[in-house]
Amino acid sequence: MNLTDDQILGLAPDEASRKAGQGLAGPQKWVTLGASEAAVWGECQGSGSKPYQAAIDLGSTAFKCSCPSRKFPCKHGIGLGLLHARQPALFAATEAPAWVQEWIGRRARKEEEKTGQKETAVDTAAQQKRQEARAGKVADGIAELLSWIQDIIRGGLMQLPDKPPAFWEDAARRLVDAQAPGLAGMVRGLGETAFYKDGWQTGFLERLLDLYLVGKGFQGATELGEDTVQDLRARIGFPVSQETLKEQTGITDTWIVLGRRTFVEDNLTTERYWLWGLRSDRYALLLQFLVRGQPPTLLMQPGMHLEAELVFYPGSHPLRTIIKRQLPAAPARPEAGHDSWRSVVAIQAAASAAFPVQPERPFVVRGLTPVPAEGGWWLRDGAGDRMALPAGYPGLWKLLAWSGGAPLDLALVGKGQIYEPLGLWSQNQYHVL
Amino acid sequence: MEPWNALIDTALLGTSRRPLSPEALPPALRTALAMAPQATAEESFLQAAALLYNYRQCGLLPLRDPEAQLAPANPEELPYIGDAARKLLHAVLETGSAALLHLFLDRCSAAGQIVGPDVIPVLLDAALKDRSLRPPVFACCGARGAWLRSLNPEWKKMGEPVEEEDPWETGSLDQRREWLRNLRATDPAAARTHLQAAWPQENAAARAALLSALAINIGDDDLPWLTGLAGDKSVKVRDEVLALLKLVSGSELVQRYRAVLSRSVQIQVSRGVLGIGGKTTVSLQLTGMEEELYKTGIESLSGTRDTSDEQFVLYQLAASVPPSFWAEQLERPAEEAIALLAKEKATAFLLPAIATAALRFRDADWLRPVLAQDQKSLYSDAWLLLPQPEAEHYSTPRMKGPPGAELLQAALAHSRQEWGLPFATAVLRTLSADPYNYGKPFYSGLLPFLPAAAAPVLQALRQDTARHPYSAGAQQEYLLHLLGLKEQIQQHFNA
Repeated sequence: MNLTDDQILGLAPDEASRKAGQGLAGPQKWVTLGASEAAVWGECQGSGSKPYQAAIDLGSTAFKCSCPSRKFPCKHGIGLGLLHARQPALFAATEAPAWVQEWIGRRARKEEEKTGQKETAVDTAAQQKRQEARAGKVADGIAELLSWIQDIIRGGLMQLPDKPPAFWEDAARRLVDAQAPGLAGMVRGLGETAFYKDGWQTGFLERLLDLYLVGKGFQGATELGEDTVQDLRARIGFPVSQETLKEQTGITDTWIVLGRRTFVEDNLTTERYWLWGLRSDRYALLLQFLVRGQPPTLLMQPGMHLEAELVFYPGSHPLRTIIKRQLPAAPARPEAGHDSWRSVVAIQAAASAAFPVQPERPFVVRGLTPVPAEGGWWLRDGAGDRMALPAGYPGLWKLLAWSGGAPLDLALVGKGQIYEPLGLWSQNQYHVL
Repeated sequence: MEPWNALIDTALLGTSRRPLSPEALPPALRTALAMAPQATAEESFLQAAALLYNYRQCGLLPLRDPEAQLAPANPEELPYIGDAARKLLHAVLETGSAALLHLFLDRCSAAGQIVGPDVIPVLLDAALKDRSLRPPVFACCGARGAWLRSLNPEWKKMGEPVEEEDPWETGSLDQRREWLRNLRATDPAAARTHLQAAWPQENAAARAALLSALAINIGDDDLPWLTGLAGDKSVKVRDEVLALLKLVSGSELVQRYRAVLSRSVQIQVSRGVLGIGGKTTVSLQLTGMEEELYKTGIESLSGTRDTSDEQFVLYQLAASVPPSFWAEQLERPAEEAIALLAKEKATAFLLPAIATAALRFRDADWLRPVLAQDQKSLYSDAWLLLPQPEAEHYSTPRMKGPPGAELLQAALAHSRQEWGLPFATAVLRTLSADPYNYGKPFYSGLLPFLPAAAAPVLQALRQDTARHPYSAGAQQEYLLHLLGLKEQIQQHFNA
């Protein structure tokens, strides 16, 4: 396990677990400690007569504990991880006890079952019929959406700030009914525009054109290449079978987690992890959706390294992935990355040329210096080219503190001319901003 | 007009009011648009806009501006703290205890080390909220911290030297009084001169408020001016002057009090049988009290049945003259004089008055015998006058019950160093017995004064109180954590 103290503490579900975990990060609390290539484990003396058995799967950073806590990971898992990170010598390399072997074995079997699962006895005819029915519904929904967009353009954007929330929500609901959840989300995004801010028109029109392009693209899909069709389907919200994806060969690499963003809406938490392959120089996006109270399956922290085979969702410039296989990894020094903004915009331009509705993308750019200009802050590369930091970027002063006016190797996410730093490398270590 | 702006203008008004002219588009796009099938105005607009949108997107370049520069920070001259201290600092920041952070930064700067860049913004924000943190924060943030401060307008203000006389010229009344108090503490004459110079321009309320600052280091040098102000037309000013004159032993007012008291207190020696067993007592009889003195704050009527009006006047006079009066009047040193007064109920009631006088005229030699003789009264103000170990010694056996709270407040206000273990133990017991009134911030405020050796005491108290459903367990746990970190900080920087 290559997690630092901060990363382990970042896995704690709440402040109480963090503090309690820190209290258990001393050897005096643990009756036994041990480690193998696959796992570390220990028995922690609690209030009962029998010590709690805690273990961590080093491959996929998964936790197990026999305590009755509903928190995940519990304080014993956090304490065990901290102790291992701080004093690895306390963990004698030995054969795992039966309870650890059983747990690791069960996890491995489950994983195998998942990957080995075939879509048994699929009624292809029925499936085809379902897909056609869905495509029909989506086509109807898109026709209605395009008509709605035309109405907006005919009436003018000026009328929009006065529209009630129902104007956007009704349109989004119709798209949900049409089984196009991706488009519904884009419409809701339009409704969340800050109409009180100067210059809202540009951003709004760009998002409206994204919707228009996806809608028109879908209507003319028969004339488009397969990758572009996949881009369209992803934007509309057609599901992709993870089982099918896992049957494909992915890219095996040491991936560093560059950053994470969490969005909470109603009961659903969406976590976006941006990854970068140190050997392949590929960028990836992992999504995790959590309903309230549900323990996460992905336990990742920015700065963490993982050796994994990632399979990309199909598309012209694929970004979203799933983990097919994961192994323990040691931190490694990145070699690749971009040396200039020109190199970044070349990739952005190529992606936009293939499919104009592009999400934010992560990049690693070397030698960027924060500079003030035009009332804001920018990142200037060695050639004197600069891109803007988002207005009100919360990590600005931390970024400047690290820089001291000198160039930094940065991980960023963004598009157009605005990029938000996620982290930086200093003395071969990745630091989250 | 730039094509995108033309597009926005049309979009804002709507195609029903302003159709988009193809001429607004770049020539390269006009050709592409011409290939699109004929459509409605809205559809034509959307086609053109979508084309232009992606045209811009694909051709976007970064801004080239070699002029945008930022002068780099100076190189650091001091070494960074090590990994262990870095982790310790993060743990300190997590507690949210300003006292603990102060301790860490003091030790760090004393060790000639600086913190890593990642925590500098957090520390500068903390210094913004807590002025006392600024010197150690600035020292521990090194050249990088100074550079960052120069870039952030809010942080920059913290580092700017304040013009010495600025608050006096332009500050609020409270700021001016505070400034005058500070000057008075170091240069009493200069403070008086400043006030005298500003006097004609001030209104009565400001005069009274600023005069109060002269109570610090007041002395005979202030008498001529203050005596001259005694006839001021403002009642507020006159009251303040009176209060100040009462603090100067050489003032005419105090001398008049003294004269009355001198006439009223007599020593009497009764003869025993055959000259053996004679008794020395002090007789009190208010004699020659001037009516004028009742206008100087001496009340003529007692508010309680236990004290006669005469006793009450004598009490007030005793509280208003330097306690050395009693040595002269009773012809014996302080300890014996106080013991003599304490012997009889008829005179013992004066002891708290003499303690008040000892505090007013800052005479610890007269406070000590009063504290030793008078077990009934509580003298929390002893913390103002006595050296800390003596104040702790006086307070430790009195910490139980309500007096404990009063003594603790005084101790927190006037302690300058860590408490000894006996007093620290008494404080922890007091807090443990009263879990409702003291929260975590209060416990955190104890940290500078609690020695690390108090941890086992706290641990034992925690085990005792854990059995009770409503206990100070959470606060004690928190304080134990803080004490543990305090010990680590001391060990780390002492190593």
